[in-house]
Amino acid sequence: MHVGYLKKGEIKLGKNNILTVKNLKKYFITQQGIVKAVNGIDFSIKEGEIFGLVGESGSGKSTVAYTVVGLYKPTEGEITYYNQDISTESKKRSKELKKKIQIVFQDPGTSINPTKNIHQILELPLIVHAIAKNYKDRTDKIKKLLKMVELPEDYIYKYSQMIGGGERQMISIARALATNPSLVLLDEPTSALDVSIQAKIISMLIKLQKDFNLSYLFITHDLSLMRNVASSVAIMYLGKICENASRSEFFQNPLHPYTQMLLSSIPVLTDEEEKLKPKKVKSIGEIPSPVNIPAGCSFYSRCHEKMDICSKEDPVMVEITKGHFVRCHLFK
Amino acid sequence: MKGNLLEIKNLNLHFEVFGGSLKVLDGVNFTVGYKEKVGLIGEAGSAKTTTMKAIMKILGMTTARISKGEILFKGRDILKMNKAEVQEIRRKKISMIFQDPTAALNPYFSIGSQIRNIIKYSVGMGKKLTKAEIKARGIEALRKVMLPDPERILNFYPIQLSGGMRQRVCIAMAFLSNLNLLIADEPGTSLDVTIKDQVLRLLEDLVEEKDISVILVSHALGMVKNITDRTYVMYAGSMVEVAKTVKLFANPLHPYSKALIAVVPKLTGGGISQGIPGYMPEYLNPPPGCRFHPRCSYVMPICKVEKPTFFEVKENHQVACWLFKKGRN
Repeated sequence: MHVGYLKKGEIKLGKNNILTVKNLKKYFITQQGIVKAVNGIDFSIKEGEIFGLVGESGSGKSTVAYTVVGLYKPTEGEITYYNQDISTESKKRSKELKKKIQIVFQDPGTSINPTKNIHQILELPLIVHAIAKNYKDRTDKIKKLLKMVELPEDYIYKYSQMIGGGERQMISIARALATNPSLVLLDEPTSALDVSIQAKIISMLIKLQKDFNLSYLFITHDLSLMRNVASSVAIMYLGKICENASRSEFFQNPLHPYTQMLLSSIPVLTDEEEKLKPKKVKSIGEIPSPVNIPAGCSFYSRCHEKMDICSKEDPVMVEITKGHFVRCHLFK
Repeated sequence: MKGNLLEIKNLNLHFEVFGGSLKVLDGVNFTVGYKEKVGLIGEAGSAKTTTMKAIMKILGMTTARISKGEILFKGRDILKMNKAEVQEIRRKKISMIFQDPTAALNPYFSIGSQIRNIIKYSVGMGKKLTKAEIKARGIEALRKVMLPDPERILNFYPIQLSGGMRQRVCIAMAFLSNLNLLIADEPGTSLDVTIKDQVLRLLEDLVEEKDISVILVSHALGMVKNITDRTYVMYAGSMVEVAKTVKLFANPLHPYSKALIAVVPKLTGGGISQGIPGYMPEYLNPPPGCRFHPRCSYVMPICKVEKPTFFEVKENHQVACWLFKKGRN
């Protein structure tokens, strides 16, 4: 059985933006120089939306998530949750706010404390946010959480090494949902797992999103997953967004050369999928180090449609059709 | 050439652990022809890598026990060979590329010294190579995998290279000797999609050039589909289906293969499958009969008792499932 998400006409997005990011920059100072991990990005997530942020490793997508959740203080720029400015680090945020924005990390093996059992892991957010008052209430709530992610109740006193990778990720998700959040940042939640477990977790996430009316910022490098899950997609390259569009527009009409390269690199199973891939775009080169970003367009060294202007001038974001933004000199 | 390059017959393997034995491989039958490209797919934990390691005899032999079966390489049983003969095969006949290039390269030695050792002990055995010749061959190998500036890279340590470059170094090392069989164990899994594409194209070209046999182990099904001629589907320590790759992906027959192919997210959309119900069995107490029966939606009484063998459904298409036993219906 398939859980089809977002069939046509079924899109129920709220009017308000739950999260708005404006000109966000995050630099790290290292011995080699300044690493511009995130270098001026803008995007917004509507209520009830699954926003896909796609890019290669080193493109700065995780840094975006960590900055939004408050693990890093932004160097510059503005992050707004509804109408509230949250451009500070976690320490300076109110508890109420921390409760509403939660994160699920990539590797469940390292994001769960191996010396604590599942009861202790899921209990902590309940204590911190005073959600359940006494031990018995907390145990009941933990059982409910386990039921929500379809794990058996007797897992409650197990340790994380005793369960499989997929189940561990379910615990991470349960921990994120323990505080009843409205925005969940998913930082490559399935990239450490294989396809069949990935399918289980994704369909669970979609079900939870519908049940609790959540919004997701879904970070991944898997475009075919985004095709099935996200309602809008943004591509990141070296700390900047290259292309941002709604899902259908993005996959039917990919414009940026980098998007085309990404799409054409996906190994696919059927002939219909093969037809969707842009032809004759071979991937070349590797993502450059973010320490010394070349002048001009950062994608210049790998681009198959490069022009003279690209090496001199960094392109700006332009709106091609409504809601379809591209940052490339080809579209001026 | 006649016959098969590699033939695994009814291989049974278990690991001795505290509290019993992990019955991992349960009658594996697997063949690779001369100059054939074979794919091996299955979920994580279906013992794909264990099978490959058994071929190279690089399992932790203190706990791994092979109770039954044989692994014939060019007609000779690897399991019965002595240490020197196995070493000879590892040096000159079979190469393996591992999933994680970071773990495959020794962080303490420079790329150059690791490559030089391989040349000295696998290519150069028997004949004396001068230092200059060894270095020239190393540079040549790195140039073949399209690494820029190979002279400089020889002095680098693995940590100074990116993941894609490390995997290229591993590929260069695998192709150094005049090998017959290449085992690529998930060569792209730890890499980004664009880099994965480049590495695989490179691998394809080199295989084409050298004209050798390949086993490609992966759970990235699209990759297997593009490269291989014939594909095996593995589940919980035994092969459940084998067919020509194109036919297998177009028309999978075993309930497990069907489910596995359906869970891959499609670029054409259409939602996400809910996944295969249940989890991999525990190897300490695997279910009797067909090991897939607790997760199978077509389960019949016989499945719980007896393990199915390969049934020939069509030409070159074999399925280990009671649904396809001849004379049924």
